[in-house]
Amino acid sequence: MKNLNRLLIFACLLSFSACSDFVNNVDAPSDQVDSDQLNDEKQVGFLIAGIQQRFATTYDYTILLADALSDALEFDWNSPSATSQSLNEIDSGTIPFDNPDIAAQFINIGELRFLADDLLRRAEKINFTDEDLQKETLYAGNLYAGIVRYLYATYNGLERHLGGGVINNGPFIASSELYQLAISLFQIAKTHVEQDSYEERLLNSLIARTFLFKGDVAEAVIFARVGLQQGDEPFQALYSFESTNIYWLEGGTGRGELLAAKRYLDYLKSDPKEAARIPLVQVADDSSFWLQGKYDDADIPIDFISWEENALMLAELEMPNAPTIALSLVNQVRFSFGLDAISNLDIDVILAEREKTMFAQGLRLVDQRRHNRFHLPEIAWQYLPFSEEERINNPNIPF
Amino acid sequence: MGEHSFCRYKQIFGSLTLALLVFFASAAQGQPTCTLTGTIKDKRTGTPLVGANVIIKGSLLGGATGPNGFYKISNIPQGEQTIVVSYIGYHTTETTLNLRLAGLVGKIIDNTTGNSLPGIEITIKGTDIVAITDNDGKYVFENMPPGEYVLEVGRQGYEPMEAVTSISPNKLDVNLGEDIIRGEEIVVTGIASRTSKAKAEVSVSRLPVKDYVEINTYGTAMQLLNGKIAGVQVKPVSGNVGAGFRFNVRSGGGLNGDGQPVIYLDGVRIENSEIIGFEVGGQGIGLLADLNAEEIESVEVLKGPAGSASYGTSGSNGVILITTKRGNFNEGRENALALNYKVVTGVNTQASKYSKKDYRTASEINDIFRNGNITQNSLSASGGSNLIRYFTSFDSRIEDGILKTNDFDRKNIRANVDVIPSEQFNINVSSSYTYGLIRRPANDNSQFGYLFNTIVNPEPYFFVGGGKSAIDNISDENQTKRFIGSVRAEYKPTDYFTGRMSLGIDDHDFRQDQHYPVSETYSDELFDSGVRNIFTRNSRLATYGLDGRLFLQPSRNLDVSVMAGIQLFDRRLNIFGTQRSGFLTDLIDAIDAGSETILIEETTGHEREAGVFGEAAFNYLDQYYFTAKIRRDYASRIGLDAATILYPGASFAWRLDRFNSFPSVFNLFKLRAAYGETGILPRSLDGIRVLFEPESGGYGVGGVPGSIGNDKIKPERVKELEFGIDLEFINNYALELTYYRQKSTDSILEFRNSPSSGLTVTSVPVNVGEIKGSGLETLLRASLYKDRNIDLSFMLINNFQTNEVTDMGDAQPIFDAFGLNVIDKGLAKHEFYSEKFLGAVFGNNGAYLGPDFSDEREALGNPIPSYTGSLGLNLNVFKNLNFYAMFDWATGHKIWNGNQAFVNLAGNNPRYNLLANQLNIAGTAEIDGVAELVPVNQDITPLQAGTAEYAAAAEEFSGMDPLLDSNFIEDADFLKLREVSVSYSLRDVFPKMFGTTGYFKNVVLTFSALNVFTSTKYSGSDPEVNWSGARELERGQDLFTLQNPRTYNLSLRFSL
Repeated sequence: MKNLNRLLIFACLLSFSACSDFVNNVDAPSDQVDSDQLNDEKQVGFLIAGIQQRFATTYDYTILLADALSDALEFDWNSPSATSQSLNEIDSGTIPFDNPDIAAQFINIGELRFLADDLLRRAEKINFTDEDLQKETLYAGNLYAGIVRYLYATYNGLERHLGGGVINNGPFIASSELYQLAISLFQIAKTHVEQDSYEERLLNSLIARTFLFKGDVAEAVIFARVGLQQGDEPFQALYSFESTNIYWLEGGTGRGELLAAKRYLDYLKSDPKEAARIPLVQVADDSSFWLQGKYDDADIPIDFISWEENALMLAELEMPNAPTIALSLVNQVRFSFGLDAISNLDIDVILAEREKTMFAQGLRLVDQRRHNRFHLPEIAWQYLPFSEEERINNPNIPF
Repeated sequence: MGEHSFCRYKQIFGSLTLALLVFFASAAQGQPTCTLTGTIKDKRTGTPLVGANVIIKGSLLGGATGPNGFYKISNIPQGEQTIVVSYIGYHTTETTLNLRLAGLVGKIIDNTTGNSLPGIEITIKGTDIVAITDNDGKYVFENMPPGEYVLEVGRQGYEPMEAVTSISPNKLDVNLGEDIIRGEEIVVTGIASRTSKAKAEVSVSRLPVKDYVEINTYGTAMQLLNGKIAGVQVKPVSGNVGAGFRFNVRSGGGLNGDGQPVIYLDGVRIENSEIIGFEVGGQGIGLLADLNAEEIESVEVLKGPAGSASYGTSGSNGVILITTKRGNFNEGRENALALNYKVVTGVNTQASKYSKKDYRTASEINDIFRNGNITQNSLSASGGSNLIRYFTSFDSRIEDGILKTNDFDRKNIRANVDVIPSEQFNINVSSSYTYGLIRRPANDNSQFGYLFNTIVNPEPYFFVGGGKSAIDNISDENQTKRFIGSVRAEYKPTDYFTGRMSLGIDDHDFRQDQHYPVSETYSDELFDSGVRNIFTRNSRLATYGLDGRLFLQPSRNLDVSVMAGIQLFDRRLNIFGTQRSGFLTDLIDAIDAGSETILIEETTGHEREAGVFGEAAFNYLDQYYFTAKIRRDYASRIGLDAATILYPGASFAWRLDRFNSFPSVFNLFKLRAAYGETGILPRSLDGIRVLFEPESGGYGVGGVPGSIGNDKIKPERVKELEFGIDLEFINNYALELTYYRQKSTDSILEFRNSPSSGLTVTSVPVNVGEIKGSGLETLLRASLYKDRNIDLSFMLINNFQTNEVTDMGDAQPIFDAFGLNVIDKGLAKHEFYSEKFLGAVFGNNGAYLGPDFSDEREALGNPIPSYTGSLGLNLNVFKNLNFYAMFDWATGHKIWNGNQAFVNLAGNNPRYNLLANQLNIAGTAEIDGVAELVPVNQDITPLQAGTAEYAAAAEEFSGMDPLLDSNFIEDADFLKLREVSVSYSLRDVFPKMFGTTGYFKNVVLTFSALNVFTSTKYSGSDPEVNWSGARELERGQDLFTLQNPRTYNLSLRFSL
């Protein structure tokens, strides 16, 4: 009997051990990898491409919703392609926290912030053997870490008229503070690029724009003067048919939920050459509804910043003290689109030039706010609200 | 000599008086054996029972009764034997007889003197079989078959004579009493445990599928389960043929998982997923649609951890055990082939019409429906011998749905073989292959859906530039190929030990081909350039089992069995999907004819589970039953390393009716109690904190978070305690009553990180939740009236369930994608939770300003019914004519009518439009634009603000405000006439075709219908649908979801 007991105990232990071995002996998934395995300089390219990919999906969603909230895009149930109540809510400025588009935008921007900061965290752990790769890593990490803080500050808000963002479950950070954080990161990024390089001018333009939106025009003008120059390629968000430009999808010929504001058609009617800056597409041949045609396919990139924007920004900044320079800058931009020169300049003209030149780039909302030209009643949201999910799951954010 | 003596005495008078003791015997293979015959009848009516099983206990000998209830068993060893007679629906009897070797034994005496006459030769006339009397005048003919014989006796001095005598077999006639509670059915009570239901210590249901398919036709095996098992509802979530089913089992088990039971087919765990692939708005392809009801013998259901503890992890929502048909061996019909052929023709029709009163586009909506034809041919053959038994079948079902682009073509082939080389060893092989082709229509949450395009906008197909043909020409073909096979071997070297080994596999290949032709216009640039999608999925789930059971009898009144075993699962999954657009022609629809790759994605998975289990069962005096069980589970899904989890269980039953003093009115009175624990596994990669995956875009392919996990995760533990009473009384009634309480701890909540963390690509599993549930299940069966010609019976099921989330840890409420269903502390699982409509708000001048609603969300009811039930009625007249009807119902049941919100907003609701015009807001953007699309009707005179009529109109209008979800959460209580059938056996119409004079055993003509009639308060078309299919978090949400069809079938079944 004693032997039998021993045999049974041995059999049990053997079976327990065998079971444990059996369940552990499984193949790793082929389509996913443990995050810790990416702490290697050989993986940096994969990680940077991931950040850029999330930047693209964040940027297009953010500016689409920003333009919907501004007077650049309109939602109209009478349009045959209008089905989204969610976009209608954003267009009207009456935005519940559980709006699905708001939720999606907030998830994207949060993930972009995580990925950018995560790259900087990994960069400290990785023993780089390739110094250029290390510089590239730190440039990319700081660039996108700055961009995401700029995006939060510019487009998101805790309250209707209170812009700002939130980082990693923390408390609300007001726009001005986020702008400052973004500027600091852009400045760090500059330490990892060559002097007088395209990247340096790009960062200067980004810093200038951030200062401008922050309201610090004195600093803005300094950096705008050394920003992107005519001939420089725009810094863009890139898309493909696998990761489509959502502005094309929802605000263009993709599904066409959001229409271009009617005044853009008026601009075209008064000067057909404006089609170079404001391409529009009719929803149907006999329709009175028009969509933006700037992004007329799923893989068309979107400018994040360009020399034209830098020029118009500088024009706005120089106008009070150097109106001639300002006018020259505006006309420089107009000429590049094949438009005639203008001879008079005031803030209204500057804003009109900005909304035409940076058509469908999400900047109209900022300009409306900066110059008190918001078109919706006071009670409407002027920022994209923090999503319900953030408010529920972040104890530092009030519901 | 009584009936059981089986001997017969006969005297013959003549010149000689012959005293003949006649016994019957037969011989086989040199062993002295006997034959037993008899008739089995219904005790109450005296009706012969055809197909009753008569077996010699402890042997493989036996057979089934034929016409007139007659049976015959040969080759029975002489001596004391126990004869077991069983028949579905009747109490099993056991009778012990002393079967003696048969023959003719007699004595020859001088009639005058009375002296014995030795040496007399007796010949059986017509043969050369001779016996000679011994010194006592006795003679013996051994091993004579039954029959009539003439004995020739001749001796000098005596007048020759002939005597006629006959030899009768051993005989046992039995009158069976009806088993109303079905206590004699052998049911599964654990992973390697079976017992009769009369002894079962847990609530277990066994559904004789075979009987139901005789009187009805079901598209899938799951379709027939609904309403027939206490505590279990099985609902199709849309009217698509080939769509998924959702089980609601008791109070829902734990918090996580998909709430579905684990399913075994002939001992093999099978996939119970719903495949979405490239979605068409919501509905997926249900893998259970592969199962053909015609080849299933029975389904057993263990409804919760109290019964399913030995099945371990995944058994928290119960275990469904499907047993397919097997070959039978009938004595006297060795190697005989039993053939069954069933042909079905039927039609699916629109069950609920849309009314002009509710939709301006009612006629256009109704126009999208069609009558869908059904054709089914099912052929099976079975038979066997003592050594081999087989069942094989082929089934073809071609079914059109009620929408043009929905149909289903399924072929099932099955071959089951049992090899029984000896009484000690047997092997069961089961194998099936299914080929299915399902075309799915776009509906639900899709702008390309038929219902969306006809229900929402007053201008039908407003959202699709190409109109109806654009939708008609969307092709979504889903092809399944599935092999399920198993081999089980049982070895029983002695009466004290049984060992079993099994292995099985469910290998499923799925391919979806979706096509949006470039020649159509979809008002969506991507689809307008033509889209072709291919999705493939292969899953392979292997099950291995080994167990042994030892039977002991420590004392005369105590039986003990001890069992131990091991079970292993190995599951592999490969998924691949690709999408291309940019087609220039429809003439070539191969995917490489598209110029742009939109998506290409591959996923693989590999998981393993293992369980070691043991059980000790005690039976004292056949009155007290006790079982203790334990299982230790391992899984590669738990944490980074395989953690283990222990699941205990215990059960007890007490048969009070075994006491002599117990009122005889009760045939069965059993109290039972059971406790068990099981668990629910985390998702496959939940144990890894952060996984990165590739994402393709304009920058090439980069790494982004793909899954967020928790390396401390462990399975949710679900505990259940149940008490029950099983009664059978007054011979006609049976009652099963079960009360249960469930409690889940370490519930895995889908914990959402805040978006600002950046780790939101998936929810994070955390063991923080608790949920409690309880319920009461009642099942009443009754044989209301029964005589030789009429048999009326019913089965009434009533269920109550409730549950409440009692702890969420620090987790916030979890909402579905639409923010309607919630999991939150203090609420029932899936409760509708939204701002509550409070009434209309008016300005100082009495003008309507909009709806008033609560500041906070409130509980607004639950999509899982609190009360469910069914009533099945069966009437059999003159044996040949059978009527069956089954009603089922649900109360305490809510549904969100998402359709209506869109209909109102788009101006397609005549009543809403009238009110908007009366309030003078039609066509304006006032009141959040809710009447902006309502056409202005100059014929309607606006009401004056401030008047009672205006206020009433405003109140009604605000209650229809499309922006307020609570306005569309409706009562969905229903009563349905779910099934009805009339079947008629043609035996009496063409008697020469049947029995010994014809080819057929039976031919049955049946007319049946499903989903016949619905009474409900719900204003939509079907209170049972759910837009997102059968497995998603959403529950009870009707968003342009196809109603379940009304189905009519006419079938003819031939049994040869």
